[in-house]
Amino acid sequence: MSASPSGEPALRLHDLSKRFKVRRGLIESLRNPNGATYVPAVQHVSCEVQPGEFFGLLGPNGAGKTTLFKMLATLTSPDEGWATVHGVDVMKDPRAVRRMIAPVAADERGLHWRLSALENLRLFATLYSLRGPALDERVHEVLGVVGLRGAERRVVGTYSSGMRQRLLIARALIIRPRVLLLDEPTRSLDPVSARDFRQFLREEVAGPARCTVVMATHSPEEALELCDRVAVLNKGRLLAIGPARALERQYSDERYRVRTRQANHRIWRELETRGAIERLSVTGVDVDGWTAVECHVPGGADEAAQVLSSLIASGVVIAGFDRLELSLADLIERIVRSRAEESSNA
Amino acid sequence: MRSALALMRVSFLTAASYRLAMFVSIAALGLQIVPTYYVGRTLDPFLAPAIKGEGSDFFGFLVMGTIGYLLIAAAVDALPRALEKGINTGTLELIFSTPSSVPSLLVGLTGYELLWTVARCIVVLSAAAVFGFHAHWLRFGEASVILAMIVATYFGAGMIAGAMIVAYRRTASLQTIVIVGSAMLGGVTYPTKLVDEQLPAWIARLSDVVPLTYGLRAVRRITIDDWPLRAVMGDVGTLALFCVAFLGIGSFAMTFALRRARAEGTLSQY
Repeated sequence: MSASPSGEPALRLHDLSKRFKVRRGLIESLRNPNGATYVPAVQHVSCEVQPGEFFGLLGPNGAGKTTLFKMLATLTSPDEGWATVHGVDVMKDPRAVRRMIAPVAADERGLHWRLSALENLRLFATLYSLRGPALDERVHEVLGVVGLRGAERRVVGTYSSGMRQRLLIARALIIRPRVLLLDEPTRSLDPVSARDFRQFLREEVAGPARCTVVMATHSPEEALELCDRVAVLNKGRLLAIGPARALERQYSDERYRVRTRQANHRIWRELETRGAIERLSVTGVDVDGWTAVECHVPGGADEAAQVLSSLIASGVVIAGFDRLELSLADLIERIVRSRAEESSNA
Repeated sequence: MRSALALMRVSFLTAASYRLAMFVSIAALGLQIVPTYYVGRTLDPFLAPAIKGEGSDFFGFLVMGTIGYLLIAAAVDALPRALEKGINTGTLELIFSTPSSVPSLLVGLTGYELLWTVARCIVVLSAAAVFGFHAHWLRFGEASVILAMIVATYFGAGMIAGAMIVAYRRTASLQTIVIVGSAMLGGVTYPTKLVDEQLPAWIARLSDVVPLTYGLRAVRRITIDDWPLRAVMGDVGTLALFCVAFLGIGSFAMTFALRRARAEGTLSQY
């Protein structure tokens, strides 16, 4: 991740807002013509994404992620605020923005299923003003990048979901986009394909192409391993932004899991009495007799190390001592709850 | 322009992948000329006075009516159908997210359908020639310009229907109303003179506001009766006015619909 030569961020969103009118029946509209109601989709979102950054958008369904994407892709106009892509305003010069930004939809719609991958790519290359030998060269180049060379003459309808997803990415890469918008790109992929796809994104898209990638995702692997930073959205509001690990640490409750055969040893009660551990619970016994004990260590990693030393010193045999990572769902839930508490206190 | 050609090529490749449907479509048109020939010959003695000045024989009258009908049906229906299909398959959103201009995209979405219709018209004319349709073939260059004006005029109506698809996902049967209304009142299968003489006055007045009335009459006079172009300039001028008006309204409606769809975020909803 680095700033562009001009110092302009890849994306700059300022106070961006969008609301949608709630559909009403004809009778209701006639009866109450001024009674239109609106649902906020995106509310006063401001943030910046730097060139080359891998940026994640997290949030429950209906959080506003797709609306945000559509506004950046110039498919939906904002009601308030503004957004720029490498300094170009999405409303003032949408065609210039479309030359730099490539959206990839969540599903496989958008492909011409009765045509070959080659024909699909040629169409979009032409729509992005590529011509002649440069067009063919680029099409073959992206086919190689996404690993579809050799299958390019097959009809897309015969492709697997993973291949179609790769083709969607290939289509987006045709223009050498400066910003790639990925809306839940691994939603329809099996775990192995999803892992391969993440590796492909890391190695082929973000790496050599130095492309800024903004990805809406529900996948913890994508959020925690792939993204440099993530933003958490809920009900259209930006609740938190930062490196995913930092957010996870900030909102996690320092819970640890210990595998031992001595879950009833007196040291556990002593540690609890001392306040070194809290909320002690035995979560299960393995078939071979090892027990998983979970506890909260309020003092964090340093105190966890002391707890481990105390356990060993007391003769407790330990097969594993791991910090429990916060799930993405818990992280989002905690951020949402924390912001709600902050606003109610304010 | 290249964007339009690329989209037309995709439409062609997609249509060509349904080889049987393509063959049946052409064969059916060729065969359609058989009943047209016999109906034309049978009714010719009765309708000859009514079509005087719009073709010397009823078979030729019907052939040119069929050409007009095929063209207006395609012109009106091609755009809303392409937009509806694009919305349902998700391709519309993606082509609108490219830097290609909206007019070139709209032309590209409909161009193949219109060219395919022209090919079908040639099949009809060829089959009709085999059955003895005596047209002034050298006049078809001039007639083509008038037919192109008919297409442009009705494409304007198609743009209004397309705008309704983009904005509301429904056209309220606008295409059907325009196509059937024009066919009934515009002189496709019987002369508009009959409309004037036999039907209530208000229906006859409707016939006057159907662009096809003027276009078909001019085309028949040129191709069947060999009238000079200047003799049909009145009809051509009226058609040109319709053309400007329909294309203007259609462009306005489409611009409004796209702006509305972007504002309401419905461009890609299906």
